[in-house]
Amino acid sequence: MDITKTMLEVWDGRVHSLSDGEKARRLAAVRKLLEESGASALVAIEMDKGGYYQWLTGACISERPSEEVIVVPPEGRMIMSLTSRLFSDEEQARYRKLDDHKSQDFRDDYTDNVPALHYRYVADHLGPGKKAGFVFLDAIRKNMRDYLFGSIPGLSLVDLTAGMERLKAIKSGEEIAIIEAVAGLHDRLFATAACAIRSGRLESEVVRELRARAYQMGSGGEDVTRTVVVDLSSSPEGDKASVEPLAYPGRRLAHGDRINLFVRCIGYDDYYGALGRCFVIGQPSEETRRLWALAVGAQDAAVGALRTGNRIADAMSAANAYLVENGIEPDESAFVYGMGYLIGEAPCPGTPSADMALEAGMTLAVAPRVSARGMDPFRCADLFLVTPGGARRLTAFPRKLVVL
Amino acid sequence: MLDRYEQVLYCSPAEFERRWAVAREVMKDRGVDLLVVLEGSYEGYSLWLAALRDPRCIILPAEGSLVAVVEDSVLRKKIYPAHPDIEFVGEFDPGLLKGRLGPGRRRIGFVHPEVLRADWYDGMVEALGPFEIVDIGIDLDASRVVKSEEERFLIGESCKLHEKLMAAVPQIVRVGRPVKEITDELIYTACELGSGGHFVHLFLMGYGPQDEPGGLEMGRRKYPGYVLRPGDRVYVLLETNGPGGHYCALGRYAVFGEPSAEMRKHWDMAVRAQANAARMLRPGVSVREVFDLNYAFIEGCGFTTNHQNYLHSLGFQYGERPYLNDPSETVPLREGMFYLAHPVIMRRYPGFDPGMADGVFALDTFFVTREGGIRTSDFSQDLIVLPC
Repeated sequence: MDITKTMLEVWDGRVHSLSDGEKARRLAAVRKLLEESGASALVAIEMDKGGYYQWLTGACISERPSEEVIVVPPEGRMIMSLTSRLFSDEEQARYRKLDDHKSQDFRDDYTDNVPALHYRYVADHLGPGKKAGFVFLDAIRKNMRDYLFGSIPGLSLVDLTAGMERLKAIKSGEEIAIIEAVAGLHDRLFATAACAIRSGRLESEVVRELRARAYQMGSGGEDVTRTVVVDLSSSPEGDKASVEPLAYPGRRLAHGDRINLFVRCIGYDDYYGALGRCFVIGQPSEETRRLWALAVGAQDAAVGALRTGNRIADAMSAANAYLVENGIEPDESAFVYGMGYLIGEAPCPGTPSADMALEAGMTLAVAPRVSARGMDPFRCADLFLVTPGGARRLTAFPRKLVVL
Repeated sequence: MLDRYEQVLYCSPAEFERRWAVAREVMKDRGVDLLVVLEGSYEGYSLWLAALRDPRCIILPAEGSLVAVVEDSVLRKKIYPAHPDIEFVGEFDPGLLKGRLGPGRRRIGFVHPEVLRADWYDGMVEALGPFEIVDIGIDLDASRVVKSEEERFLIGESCKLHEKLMAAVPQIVRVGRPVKEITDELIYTACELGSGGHFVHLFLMGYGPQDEPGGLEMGRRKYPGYVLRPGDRVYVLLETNGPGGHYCALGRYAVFGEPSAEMRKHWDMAVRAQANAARMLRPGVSVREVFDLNYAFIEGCGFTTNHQNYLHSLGFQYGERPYLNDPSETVPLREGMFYLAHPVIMRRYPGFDPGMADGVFALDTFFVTREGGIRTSDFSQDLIVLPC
């Protein structure tokens, strides 16, 4: 991806490159789903939950869960309500049209921004069945439910979440190219980790430096804890993990430490990547080398099961079987999950999408942990693409214990 | 530290107890038996009540423990309760409310009742029978914005962070740098000084030749964004939190080279308008009254302004009520409230489309006192003049 040909969002400093063609592809896929389901308009809510805000508009996420409701009609432009308000006919008649292009709420040329939801945005498109599709219907607000049912006689709602989750999970060629670039951002970030991870530095200093370096490469946003999600822990090689919480100013790195670093960073177009490795300042022990090799082996076992038609549970089971065979406790965490606009998109353990069959084009993080004797766990984490021939690793950073 | 290395949050157990007492006083005044805070992360309620940003819902009964409903994923992580009387649960169970409402009690106070999920509401009806929803958000806001001694200390720390960051502008904001690069460095430096854990709200705006319009508009630009040049002006807006999590704000224009007469004229008026607004930040006056009087003052000085929300409070978020253009705008101010003020002076540009205008403003924070608003910073209110 040529970053000099991308656009920069002035408000949040994030990089956007998505083509109009890609957005049109998504819209067409949604409309096909609507047609198949017998619904004639889609209403997307809970924007912080599924990444639909980005998926439908190509813009970055909103900050407030209740803000923004998107209505996708069977044809024509999408409608985006910028607030949780619901307009009466009188309010709708007198509101001032927003100048999209002068607003920080500007999204794209496929969407009309409006200050509140009005029922006619849905009602005007309903066919004889009066059926409207919803994403996350279970989370519909009471006032919206009352408003829609009170305003649209005969309305019925159908939950299209599962179908939408599948559409979003299968990435197009353009999306895969962007995600590969995001994986490359993670590779470069880890290449600089050796500069950041030094004896005498605080863990917090390392984390802040890594976040800053990610921003220099095109990540961005106000909330650094969610745009560059860093899991970092350190402890003396072979010793037990530090007991948390740690008092200010936190732990200081020293010669002989092992540092576990797992980063999931928003790169370009709001897509997340994932990369995790262990670093040792000084010489690692044989035991450390053995445990790291097991972390890599567990990842290999999981990846071997990332075949089309399988489930993510198959991959986690394969990794855990490998760990148990090697005398290690199974990893009970959710360590294989979809990646895209969110960390833990569909398919994701612990959600209704967990049982989704794997298909070519899905991007997943595979990050099994090897825990031993109370030590900080070893985690080998990478980003993978499911292909017809099996999973392909998108991150390229060597899967070695990094000796500093 | 949070999660080993995130921003330090500080809040004493006594401070929590004070806040809960404040909330319970509001509940009592409004005759409600239980407080349910929805979507409390956005406006800082969650941090104010429970020192955790994540809760989907907070339940504060008239007596007993506060309950924070968090996602299962949050519950699986380590949570360090800031007070022994905070209970964390992974699911919203209407039974939680039933057990905390006295017999025959049916009035429930809400913050943001408009975002109550339908399934939660249905569950509540089933568990409690008919109940009354009372929106007490504005009443609670009007009370929590009065800062305690502990909060004032932490706001002071946040204020120092902003002063240090603004003092670093001559080194960070330089000709030849793209705005993205500068913003990223400001964010990094703010985090080094103790900001983080929430929105690090810092950015540049209003950049470009100082006597040409533009730069205030949002939207997208070709990467890497505008590159600063000699003769430019740029607005440095700092509105982030400090160690302890409290937000503060400071905003100044930097000019590369000698500021033009027009630039100075509008800036000086912006500072005067701010001082005039601050003078009126006294107990009993509402921000709407301040705005209206300041509007007349600005027009009387031969300038124009706009209707932007330039008077709002700050806490664990950079915009808290009571504020302008909101039903809370008529709430009388109280002594000890913490406010931001930045009246906007509209500027038009000779030789350009007369319809094109942008705004010039000085951004500072104030405590409401009987003598008027007291500025929390003594950072110079001059234009920052930088070498080219």
